[in-house]
Amino acid sequence: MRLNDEAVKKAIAQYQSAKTDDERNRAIASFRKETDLYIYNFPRMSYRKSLDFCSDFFLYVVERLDGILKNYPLDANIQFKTWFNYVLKNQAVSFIRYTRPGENPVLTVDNIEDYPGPEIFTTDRPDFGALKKGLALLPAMDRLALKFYYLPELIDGGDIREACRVFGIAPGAALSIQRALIAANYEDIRRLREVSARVTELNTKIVPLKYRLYHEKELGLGEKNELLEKIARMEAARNKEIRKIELPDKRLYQDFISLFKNIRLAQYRLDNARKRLRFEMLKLARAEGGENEI
Amino acid sequence: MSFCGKFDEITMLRYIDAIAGHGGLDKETLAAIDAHLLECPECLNEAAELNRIGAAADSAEPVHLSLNSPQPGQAAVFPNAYARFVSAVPVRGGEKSGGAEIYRLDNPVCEIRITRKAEGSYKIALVFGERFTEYVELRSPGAPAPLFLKKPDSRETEIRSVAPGKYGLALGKTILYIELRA
Repeated sequence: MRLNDEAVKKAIAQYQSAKTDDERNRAIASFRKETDLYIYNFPRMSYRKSLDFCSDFFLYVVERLDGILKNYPLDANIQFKTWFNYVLKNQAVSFIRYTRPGENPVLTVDNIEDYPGPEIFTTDRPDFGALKKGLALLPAMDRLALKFYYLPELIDGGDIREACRVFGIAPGAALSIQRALIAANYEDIRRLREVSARVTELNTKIVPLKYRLYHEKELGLGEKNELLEKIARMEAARNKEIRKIELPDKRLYQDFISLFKNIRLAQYRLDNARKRLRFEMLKLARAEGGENEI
Repeated sequence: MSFCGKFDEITMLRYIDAIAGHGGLDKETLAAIDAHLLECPECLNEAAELNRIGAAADSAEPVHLSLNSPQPGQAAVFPNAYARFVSAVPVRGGEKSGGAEIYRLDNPVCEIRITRKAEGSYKIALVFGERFTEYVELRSPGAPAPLFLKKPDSRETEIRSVAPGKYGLALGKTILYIELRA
């Protein structure tokens, strides 16, 4: 989600130089025009909070905009969005403290609600809790390979430090790769959604054609042939789309490879980590007396 | 959680900017911060968190339809009115009729009639343009439960005995923030 850096900074400059309430109100209105949607969506984007939380948080921040605008360092040469994320994160902590007095919340990746467990390998029982336990049992290299590839959003400071040690890179490089992988992950999700939508669309076209072919008794041989050809063409197109779902995303893979010396090593490490995770999770399931196979 | 203070906040935020590809910090400072991050879990956690939030926010798409309106973010302020609205959808009206203040919305098509009772509380009557099949909810900010949550039986619904204060009024996916004056 984009923020127009120039327009926002212009509104803040107007606010900070305003001499009358009217000028200040106009500047706030311009600022809100650019940022309302971002403020509203912030808890959802950063911690996957519910829309109820988003609504209440929005109102909480809107009431405090005066203080926020006064404090923006216009001369600091930083992107407004970077600064605003820092401010909104702190506002989210204050908001939680305000709604639940007595608590001293710290917002980290552990506060991400409702994280969709990725399908690292096919399982009938997608259980994110079990996946986390399994990951904790892996050697650092395997755990990091899986986290960077499948769960870049759940990488915390400890993982970054470990990545620096294991891969021999600087924190800045590890953070940069994490950032690229998060973006690639979102893009991959969008790509899969689009492909799924196309498959659904093709299915809805194929079903009535098949119905006609099998149930309409008046169809001549020529018409039946025509229908069959049409169905075959559509099914081929659908299968092509399905194959796209199974393919790994190129950009995701490219960004992931930068952690390793070459593509083969990256592939080997990832396959190995998947196998080890599966093994650890089977051991966990057995230890817990679970009879269900993973 | 925050930065430890060895580097000031602005420098650390410029470092996050540099990771995002928006340059601005010289190589020596970048290297010094990198070295510091390896020693300071406090700064590393904060930097990792801000980096993650920045990346997620860059890639995520907004969902809320009412705030996706082409005319966003207007505060409807009517002088000497019972109510002040803050909403993403335009709120029009504000005229008084038979003791009630009447406001109008286009999405959903709705008339909001606010009447002040003698004891100081308010009655909010909602008259929709057509049968409204989504939830109407009134909630105080931060309250665990709504004051009012109902699917209207017909085109009209009423919320009675609302104390002065700030509320979020959701008409399906459209959210209005109302401040009822004391």
